[in-house]
Amino acid sequence: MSREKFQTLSEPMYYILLALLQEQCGVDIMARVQDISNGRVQVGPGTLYALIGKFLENHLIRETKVEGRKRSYIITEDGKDLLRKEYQRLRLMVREGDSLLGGDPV
Amino acid sequence: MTQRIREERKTDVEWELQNSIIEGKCIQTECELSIKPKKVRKWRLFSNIDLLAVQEYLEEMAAKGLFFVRRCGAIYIFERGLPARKRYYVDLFDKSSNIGGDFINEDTREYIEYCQECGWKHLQTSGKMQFFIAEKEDAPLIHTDPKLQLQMIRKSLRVENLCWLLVVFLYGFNFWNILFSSDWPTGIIENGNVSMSFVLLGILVLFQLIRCYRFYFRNKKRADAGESLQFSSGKSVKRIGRVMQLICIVLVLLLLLEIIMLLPQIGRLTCFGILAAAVVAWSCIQLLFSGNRIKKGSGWRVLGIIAILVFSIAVLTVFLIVGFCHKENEEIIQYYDAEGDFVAESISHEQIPVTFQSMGIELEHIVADSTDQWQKSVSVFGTSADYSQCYYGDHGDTFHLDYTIANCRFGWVQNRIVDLYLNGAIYSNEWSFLEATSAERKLWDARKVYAVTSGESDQYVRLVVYDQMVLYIENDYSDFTPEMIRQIRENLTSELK
Repeated sequence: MSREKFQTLSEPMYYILLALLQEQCGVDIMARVQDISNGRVQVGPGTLYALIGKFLENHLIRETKVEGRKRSYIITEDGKDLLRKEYQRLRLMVREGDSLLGGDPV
Repeated sequence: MTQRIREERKTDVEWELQNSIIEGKCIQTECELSIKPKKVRKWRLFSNIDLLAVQEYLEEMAAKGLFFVRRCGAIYIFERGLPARKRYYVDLFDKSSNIGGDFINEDTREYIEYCQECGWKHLQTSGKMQFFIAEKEDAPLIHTDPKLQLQMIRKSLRVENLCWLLVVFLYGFNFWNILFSSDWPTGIIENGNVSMSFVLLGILVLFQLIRCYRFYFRNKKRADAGESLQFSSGKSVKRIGRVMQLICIVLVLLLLLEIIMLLPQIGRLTCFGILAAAVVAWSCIQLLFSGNRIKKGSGWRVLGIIAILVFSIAVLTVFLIVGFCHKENEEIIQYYDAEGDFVAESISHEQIPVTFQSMGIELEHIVADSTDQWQKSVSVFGTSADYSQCYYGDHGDTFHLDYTIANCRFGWVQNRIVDLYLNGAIYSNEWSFLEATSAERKLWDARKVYAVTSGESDQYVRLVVYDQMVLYIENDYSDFTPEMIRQIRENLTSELK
C-alpha cells in the first residue's frame, strides 16, 4: 500500500473517510460529508469520484455491494488506521496551538 | 472556480440577457421561434484547457436564446429557444476515451451519474470533454479539490500531448528531410506546399503544447497552495481562437492545393480511392467504439455507420475495377530485336515539349518511343518539370533523353538545387562537373553552365543555371550545342507558365 501518498489527508479526504465509517453509496457520501461538517465542507461529484478511485486503489475503502449502478463502500482497517493517525495529528496540532493561543480565536 | 469569478460571470450573462432584449437581437416570441431554423451551428476552436472559456461561451449563447445540444469537432450545435440564464460546466474526465467520439464507457457513466445526482444534467461526452448543464440553481461545483482537478486534467491531456509531440517530431523530421536531406534536386519544389503545411501545423501544435504546459505549471503552484485553478478567460481565448482558425484555414487550403497539384500525378481515381479508404477506416473506428450505442439500441446510428461502410466499400470496389481496366494513353508494341527475340513493349503517347527531333537530332532505325516519366510540380518554392523519354532502336538498342527544368522563386532554392546536382549523392559517385568558361556562358546565354567531364563516356550532360531557373539535361546519343539548349529553354519556359 502506498501510504506515502496519504501521509497527510486533505480536508475532502478526511471527511469522506469519516463518512465511510458507515456503509454509504457514492452519492450519499456527499450528503453525509455536509452533515458531518454542518454544511462547511462540500465535496463535488468529480472530486468524490476521483477520491473513491484513489482510496479503492490503496485499499483504504472497499466496495460492499452493487445495486444496479449504485455502488456502496465502507472504510477498511487500513483506512481506519490512517484516519486515526490523521485525527491524532490534528489533535496534536490543536493542542500545540492551544498552548500558544490559549484557545482564543485569533 | 472562485465565488468572485462566478459572480462576475453571472453579471456578464445578465448583461448579455438585458442587452439582447433591449436591442431586439434575439428571438422573443414563440411565433418568431417557429420562423427561424431550429438548429444553429457555430464554428469555434477551443483548446482542451480552455474549459472556462467554453463554459462562458455556452452561457453567452444561452443568454442569446441558443442552447447547446452537442459538439462535433470544432462545430457547436445549438437549439433555438427563449433567452435564459443557464449554468454550464465543462470538465475533462481522464478515463473517457479520446478516440471514441461520444462513446460513454462504464467509468464515465459512473462519474456522470455522480454529477447527475448533484443536479448536473449530462449533455454530451466528446472525447474526454464532458458537457453538463445545471438542473438545480444550487448545484455544487463538480470539482472542489483543485489538486485533484489539475491531476485529472493532466491525465486527460497526457496521451493527447504525447501524440502531438510525436506529430511534431515526425513532421519536423519530414520537413528536415524535404528541405535539407533529400537527394532529389527538385524535391524541395515538389514537396514545397507540404513543407509549408508542416511548418504551420508545427507552429499550431507547439503553441498548443506551450499553452498546455504553461497552464499546468502555473496552476500547480496555485493548487499546492489550495487556491482554485485559473483558466484563461473567454476574451483572451477568443483572440487566440481566431488566430488558430486562420492558421487552420491556411493549413487546409495548402493541403488542398497540394492534393490538386498531385492530381495529375496520382490521378483522380486514386484520390477518390484514398478518400474512400479513409471513410472506411473512420467507419471501422466508429463501429469498434460504438459498443454501448448498439446495446442501447440507437438503431439509426448503427444503420448510418453500416450505410457509410457499404457505400465506401462500393466506392472502393468501383475504384479497383476501374483502376484495373484503365490504361490511359498506353498501347503495346511488338517487334523483333537484333538477336531476333520477340519483344512486347508498353508505350505511351504523352506529349513532351522537347524531343530529339525538336532538337534537330535525327535518330536512325527507331521503331518506337515512350515517355516513361512526366511530372510537373508547383509549390510556394517554384515550379519544376521532369521528363524522361526512351527511344527503341530496331537492333535492340535504346536511347534516353532526360531533362528537368526548375523555376525557383527564391535564390536559396536555386542554390540548393544546383548544389544537389553538382554534389548530390546520386551523381557524385559517377560524374564530376566542370564549369564552362565565360565565353561559353555567353554563348549559352546563361549565368553558369556545367558539363560532365568524366564517367560514362556515352553520357552527354549539361546543367545550365539561368536567372531564377535551372535546367538539367542528359542524353546518351549526341552532345548538345548552344542552339539546342536555347531551343530547349524556349520550349520548356512556356511549359512552366
